[in-house]
Amino acid sequence: MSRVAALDRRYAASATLASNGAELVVFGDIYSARLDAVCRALVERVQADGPGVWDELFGASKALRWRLLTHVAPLAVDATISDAVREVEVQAARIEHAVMDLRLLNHVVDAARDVLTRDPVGGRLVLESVREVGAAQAVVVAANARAREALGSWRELEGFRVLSSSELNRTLVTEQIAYYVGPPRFFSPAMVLAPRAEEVTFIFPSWFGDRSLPRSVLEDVAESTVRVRARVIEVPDALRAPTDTFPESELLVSEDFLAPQPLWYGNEAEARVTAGDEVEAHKVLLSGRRAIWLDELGGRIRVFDGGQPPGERVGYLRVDEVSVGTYLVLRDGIAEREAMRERAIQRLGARWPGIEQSQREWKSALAQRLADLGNAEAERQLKAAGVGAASQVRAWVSPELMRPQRARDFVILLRWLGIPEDPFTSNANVLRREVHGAMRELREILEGAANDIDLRMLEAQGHLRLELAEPGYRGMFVSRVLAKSPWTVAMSRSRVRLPFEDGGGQWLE
Amino acid sequence: MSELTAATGRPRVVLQLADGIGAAPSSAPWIGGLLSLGTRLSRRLNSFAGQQVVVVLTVPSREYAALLVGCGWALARQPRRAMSDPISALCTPGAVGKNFRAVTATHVISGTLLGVDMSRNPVRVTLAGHWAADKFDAVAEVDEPDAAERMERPVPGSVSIMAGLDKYWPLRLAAPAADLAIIGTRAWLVDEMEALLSREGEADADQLAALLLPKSEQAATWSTRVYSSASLMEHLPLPEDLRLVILDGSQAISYVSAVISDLVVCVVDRSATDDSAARQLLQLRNSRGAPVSLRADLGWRAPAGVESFAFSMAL
Repeated sequence: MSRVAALDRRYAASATLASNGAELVVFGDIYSARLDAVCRALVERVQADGPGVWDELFGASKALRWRLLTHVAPLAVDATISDAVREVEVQAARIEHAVMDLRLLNHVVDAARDVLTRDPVGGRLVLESVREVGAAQAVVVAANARAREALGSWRELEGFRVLSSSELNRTLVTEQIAYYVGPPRFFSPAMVLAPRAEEVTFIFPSWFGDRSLPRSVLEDVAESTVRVRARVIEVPDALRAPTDTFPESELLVSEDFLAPQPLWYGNEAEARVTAGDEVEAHKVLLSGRRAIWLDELGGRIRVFDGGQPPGERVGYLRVDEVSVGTYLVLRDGIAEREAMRERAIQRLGARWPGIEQSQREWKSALAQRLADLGNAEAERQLKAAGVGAASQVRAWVSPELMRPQRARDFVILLRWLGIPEDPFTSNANVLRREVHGAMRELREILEGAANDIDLRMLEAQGHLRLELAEPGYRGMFVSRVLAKSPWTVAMSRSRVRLPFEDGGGQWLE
Repeated sequence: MSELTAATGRPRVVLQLADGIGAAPSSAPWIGGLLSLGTRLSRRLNSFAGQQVVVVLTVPSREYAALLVGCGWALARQPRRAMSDPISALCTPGAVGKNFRAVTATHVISGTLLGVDMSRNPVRVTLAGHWAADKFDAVAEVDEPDAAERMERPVPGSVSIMAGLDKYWPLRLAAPAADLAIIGTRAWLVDEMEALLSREGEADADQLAALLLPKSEQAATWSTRVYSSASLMEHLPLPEDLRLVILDGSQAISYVSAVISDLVVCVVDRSATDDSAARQLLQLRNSRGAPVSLRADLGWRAPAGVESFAFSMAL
């Protein structure tokens, strides 16, 4: 099939899915439903008692619950569920003598063990569905690499294509229907907003609390939309739940609480107003037991995108666009901005002292004016004078930011400060040129190293060291963002973007 | 390009695209649909009263989308200079020493005019080689020298002909509008420019590169600047004479605030896993934008599978 014809299939699939809707096959399963119920009871317990003794068991139970949604191959084929049940037992045994509510503890263990009573119901449903349609028309999509491995090794599914969502995006899809093993929430919105097959079906248990389909962020403002609606089909369990099952928790628990959570270790309490050389920073948890503080107004940060062709993989993203799944390029021991400055200073040699002085002069004049007028008034005046990026005025005081982005803004700013254009503009431009030169230098070195990155390994592990031989560039690595805190903390500018050890993302890996 | 609208009741023209030479073309509604957006933007360029207009498109896959919008724009743009007689242009006093482009039957050449010999008939010139000036179909002065001295002259295909470009094809090559920039993954954009656009049923095709005339080391003339988003930081600020900038993909779109051209088209790839681009644009529209109706203000409706909206901002 030609590339354009394959592309046209994607346009057509999107239009068709928007018109017909996606199917949700929700099935009853008394055993996993019971496990879900005890998880909700645990939420109540943890909320009542506060963080403490139940935490690890809670984590293990949520992990089991999570895996039940995506690992549906028979227990003999896929050990993931049994392993997760074992972990629950281990954690329960650890706290046996420390808890008051032994009844709840026993229910958790019983519910976990009961899950092993029979092979996952979801697996049987997937098999029936694909057999009905045939291998030429059905493709099975697993929620992650591990689930894909497991389903792929299930002999009954031989002959049917089993892919992960990222693989689905990369290959040619000629099948009519894509069966997703798990709820829509577990898959990228692209699965529904840019479908590869004309028909899309999600298969998951009825107790999962979120049946929503992804929506385009632009849905409310768009003139033409690709809204996809859900058609729900219920498949009850053949077995009836015994009447003495653990009672349903009264608490309405959102799926957000039941998902594996990042551990923030009580940092939230530190929030306060910034002073002097301080910035507001989000905490970003990274794969490989690391974390960094990321400044809010911090401009850009280096990222790695394996999906881009060689030579264009190392780019810059705005700090506020960094989100879960972004791969950051970082260096142990030093923030890149520092490194770039140092390199630029090296390149400038004898010219540096004069330029440093020049930068300091206009920046301190600006700082003084801001102190006199206040940020809001200064911004207002600059805006009135024609400065396009007036809202950035606070950031221009910092030594790391060389000059306002637009030449015109800089000229107007200097005039407003009552400072002559020369030599401040030319000095700032020289500095900027050298910093850009240093950035280009590093980017080329990184692109060279990026070509050697094993993308599969990076995707599976979440982080990788970059082997750079050049002195002054050691200790660089690529790491996936696991979570970004919704809150910020005020801290000294020197602490941002410096990677440090932190286990907060352990449940998210 | 009024044949592309259905409003008049005349039969709609269907366009087709082939990946490259030798590939079978496929026709599809989004080809003409995306092309016509570019054309309409060019036609209505001056109707937005000093505001910057941002058009956002989301597509199931980014392939060809940015280039098609760019081609539509290029098809509607006029050459930078008026037609002038090549010989008189080169014989003007002071011409020697300036940079010129000239279009012959087979090539576009570019370089510094080193000499003009008016004693011969026809006049002989030294411009990237030695020529008889009557071999030139068009000549135009250029401000900056081109990277290459010569390149093959492209031949108009069924789409250029439909747009009437063949009537001033040489002038269009010598002095193209040069007011478009496309920012994205450069390697992919360059690869996609090999595609061939034609009217359904017609063999004569326009290569996208011939319509866009990308600036490159091999170009003796150019109309479109193509930047890689990964290294865009090193090229800021963008040239001030750009009228349309197309941002292809989330990394390119993250630079939207650095773009000061009259028109911006953002192509969001819905098959990409992160939706930061769409969020950023929504936030921009909510904080600084006034609504613009693509249907009412541009007379353009998105083809099936394409999500779209537009807004304007004070620069």
